[in-house]
Amino acid sequence: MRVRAIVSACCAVAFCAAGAAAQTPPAAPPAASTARAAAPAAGWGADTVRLSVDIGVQGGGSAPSQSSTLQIYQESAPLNVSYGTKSPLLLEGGLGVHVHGRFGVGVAISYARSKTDASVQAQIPNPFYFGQLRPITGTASALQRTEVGTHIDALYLVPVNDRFDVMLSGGPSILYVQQDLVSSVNFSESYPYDTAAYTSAGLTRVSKSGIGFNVGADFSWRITKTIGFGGLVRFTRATLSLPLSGQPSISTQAGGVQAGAGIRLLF
Amino acid sequence: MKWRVLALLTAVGVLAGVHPSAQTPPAPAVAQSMAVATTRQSLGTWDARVDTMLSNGQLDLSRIQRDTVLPSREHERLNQTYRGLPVFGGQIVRQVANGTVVSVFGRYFTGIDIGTQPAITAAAASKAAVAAQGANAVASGDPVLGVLPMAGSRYVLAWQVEVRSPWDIEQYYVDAKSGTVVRHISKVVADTASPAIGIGTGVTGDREKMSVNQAAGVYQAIDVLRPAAAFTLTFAGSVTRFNDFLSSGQVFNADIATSSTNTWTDGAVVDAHAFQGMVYDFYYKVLGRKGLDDANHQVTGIVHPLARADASRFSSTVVGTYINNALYLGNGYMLYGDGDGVSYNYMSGGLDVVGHELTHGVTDYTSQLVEQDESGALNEAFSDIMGTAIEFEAQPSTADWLIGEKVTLTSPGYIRSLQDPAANGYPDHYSLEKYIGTDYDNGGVHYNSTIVSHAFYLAVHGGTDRVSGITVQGVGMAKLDEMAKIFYRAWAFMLTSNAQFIDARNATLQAASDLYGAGSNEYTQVQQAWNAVGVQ
Ligand SMILES: [Zn+2]
Repeated sequence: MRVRAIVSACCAVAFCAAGAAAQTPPAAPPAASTARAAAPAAGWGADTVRLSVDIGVQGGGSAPSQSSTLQIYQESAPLNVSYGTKSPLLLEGGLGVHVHGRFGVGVAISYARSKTDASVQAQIPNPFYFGQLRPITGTASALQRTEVGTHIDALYLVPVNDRFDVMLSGGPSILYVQQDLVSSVNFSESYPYDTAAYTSAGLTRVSKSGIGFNVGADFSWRITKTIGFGGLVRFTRATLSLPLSGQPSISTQAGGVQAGAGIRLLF
Repeated sequence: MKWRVLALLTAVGVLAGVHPSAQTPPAPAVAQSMAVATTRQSLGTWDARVDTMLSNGQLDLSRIQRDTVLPSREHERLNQTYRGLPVFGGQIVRQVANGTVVSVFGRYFTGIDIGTQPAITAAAASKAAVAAQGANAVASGDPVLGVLPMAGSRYVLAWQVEVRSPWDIEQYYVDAKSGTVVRHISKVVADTASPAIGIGTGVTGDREKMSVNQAAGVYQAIDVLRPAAAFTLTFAGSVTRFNDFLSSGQVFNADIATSSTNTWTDGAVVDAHAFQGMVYDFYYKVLGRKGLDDANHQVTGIVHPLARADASRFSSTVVGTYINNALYLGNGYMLYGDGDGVSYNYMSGGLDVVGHELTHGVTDYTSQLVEQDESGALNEAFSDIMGTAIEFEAQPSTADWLIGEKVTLTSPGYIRSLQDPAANGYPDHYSLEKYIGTDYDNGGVHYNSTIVSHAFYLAVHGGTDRVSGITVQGVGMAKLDEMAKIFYRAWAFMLTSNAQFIDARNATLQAASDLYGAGSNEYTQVQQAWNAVGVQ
C-alpha cells in the first residue's frame, strides 16, 4: 500500500489568498513533476496516506438556551440566559489512509473556540416576603466555548485532474464541548428591597461529550508530489446536555459548518 | 439593688380589656420592682424625686433636647452619678412643657455602696482591655471611671475603655479593683453583621422568612437588613431569667434566639421576629416612618418570658399579664406571652397583635396618649387600627378586621372586631361608652376603643352603624392605606396626651383635608364615619 498525504495551513483570510495562489501556480518544482508522473489522475495513486492541517471558521452553531432556577433568600429565583453565537476560529488536522480503489478511511480532529456575551434575566426574591420577585437584566461577558471534534470517516476520492481531486467523507463524530455557563447572579439592593439591580454573573465552566455525525468534502491541489494546498468543508452535529450542578442539564447543539484551508501532505 | 422602670406609659397588653386579671399590677412574685407610672399623681411623685436627686448630685443634667415634633416641649436628659462618678446606663429623661413636667422616663440604680478609689490605673485598665481584644488592638480615647451595674444586684467600680481592632470597636469594662475584664460590648454590630435569610415555621404553621445574623457557627435572630436593628430574645420559660430581667432590666447575648441550621422551628421566635420586621416595613413604606421613634430605634422582642407548661403554677394575674398577653414595655422592648394553650396560643403568632403592641411604641414617641379613659381608648384604638392595616398590607390573603384571631383558641376566636364590635360585647357607638373615670380597664381603654376603631372600619370598608343606622360608603378597601395615613397623621402629629374622641374626629378631618383636600371623598368618608359612631 502506498501512502499519500495532504497537509494545509492558512487562516480564513489566508484561505482566500491560498485560492488566489492556486490561480497562479508556482513554477513547477521537480517534486511536482514527479508527483504528476507518479500519481494517476483517477483514484488513490502512488500516495496512500494524506495528512491535512487547516485553519478556518466554524459557522451555523447553536448557542445553548438556559432556563435555571436559583435558590435565593429561601425561595426559587428563575434564571434565563440567552447565550450569543459567534463563528469561532477553527483548527483542524486529518489523516486519510487508502483502503481499496477510491475508498479509504480517515480520522480528523477539529478544535474551535469563541468568546461570546450572554443576556441574563432573573427574578430575585424579596429577602423578607415570599412571592415578591424583582426582575433584573444584564449581560455576562466573555463566556468561553470550546469544541473539540473527533471525526471518523469513510473516504471516497473523486479525481478531477492530475493536480486536483476531491475527497468526500462521512461518518460518526465525537464532539466535546466545554462551555462557561451562568450559574449565579450578583445584584445590588437596598432597603426596602422593592427593586434589585444586576451587577454581574457567576460563571461555571462545564463540559460534556456526545456522539454525532459528519459529512464533508476536502479539495486538494497538488504542487509537488507530496505537498499541496487544500480546502475543507464539513458539516458536523451532535446534541449534548451540559450538566450544571443542582440544575436541569442544558441542551446545546455542538458543531456546525466547518470551513478551512491549509496544507496537504501526500505520502 | 433595685432597678426601676419609670413611667412605662404603655406597658399594657392587647388582652387587658378582656381579662379582668390584667387590670391589676403585675404579680409581686415576678415584678416586685417594676413601677408603672401612668397617672398624673405618680408623675408628680417621680418628678419630685428627680428634683431631689438633681439637688443632691445623684443626677447630672447632661443636655436639653428640643422636641422636633412638639416645638413647645423640651426634654432634659439626666445622667445618674454616684459620688461624682457616672453610673453606666443610669439615665432619666424628663419632658417639660412650658415649665411643667409632662413625663418622666428612664432607669436609675439604687443601693449602690462601693468604694470609688481604683486599685489600678487608667493605663493598666487600657492595657488589660487591649490584651483581651487580641492582636492589632489599640485603646481609643481616655478610660472613664464609673459604676457598672451587674446582674445579680452587684455593682463594680470599673474603667470604661474603648478598644479598636481590625473590623471591630469594642467597649470594655475593666474591674478597677482586680483589673479583670468584666464586660465588653461591640459598638459596630451593624458594620460587622453578616446578614442571612433563614426560613421558619410560625405559631400557626405559617412559613416565614427570617432576616438574621450569621455568627460563628450559629444564626442569631437579629435583623440586620432593615435600618432599625431588631432582636428576638428568648427566656426559654425560665422564671429565674425573667425575674432577673424584671429586676435588672438587662438582656444579654445569651438571650438571643439562635438556630444552628437557619431553619427555625420555634414558632414564637419565628413570628415575633418576622412580624416585627413587617411592622417596620408598613410604617416605612406606607407611612414614611422610620421605626418607633422615626429614628430607627432598636426593637427587642422577648418570647417565652414564662413557660406555657408552668401556667398552672402562677396566679391568674401572672397568667393574664405574662402568659395570655403581649406587652409593650417601653424603649422598644416587647414581651410576647406563651399563651396557656387553652385560651390563647403563643401571642407573637398574630401579626395584628405584634402590630398593635409596636404601635404603642409609636404612640410612646409621638402623642403619648395617656392610658386612661378616652385618651387611653384612643391609644388602644390606634394600635388596633394600625395592627389591622399592617395585616392587610403584609398578609392580604388572610387579613380581616378581627384582632387576635390567629392566637385566640376559644370562642368567639378573636379578641376584638373592628367590623362588628358588638358581636363580642364591645361598643360600636359613642352612646355605649362605659367605665370612664373608673378603675376598670383604666377607664375602659380597651372597651371603648372599638367606638373609634369601628369608625375607621366604616371609613374604609363602609357599612351601617348598628346603633345610629347611619350608612357610610367608605373609601373602599383599595384605599385602606389612604385612610391609614389620615389616622396615622392625626394620631402621630395632632393628638396630644390627653386627647378625647372629639379631638380625634377633628384631627382626622384636618389630616384628611391636608392630604386629600377638604372637598375630597376621603374627607367626607371620615366625617360620615365619625357621625355614624356618634362622635360629633
Ligand atoms: Zn394595647
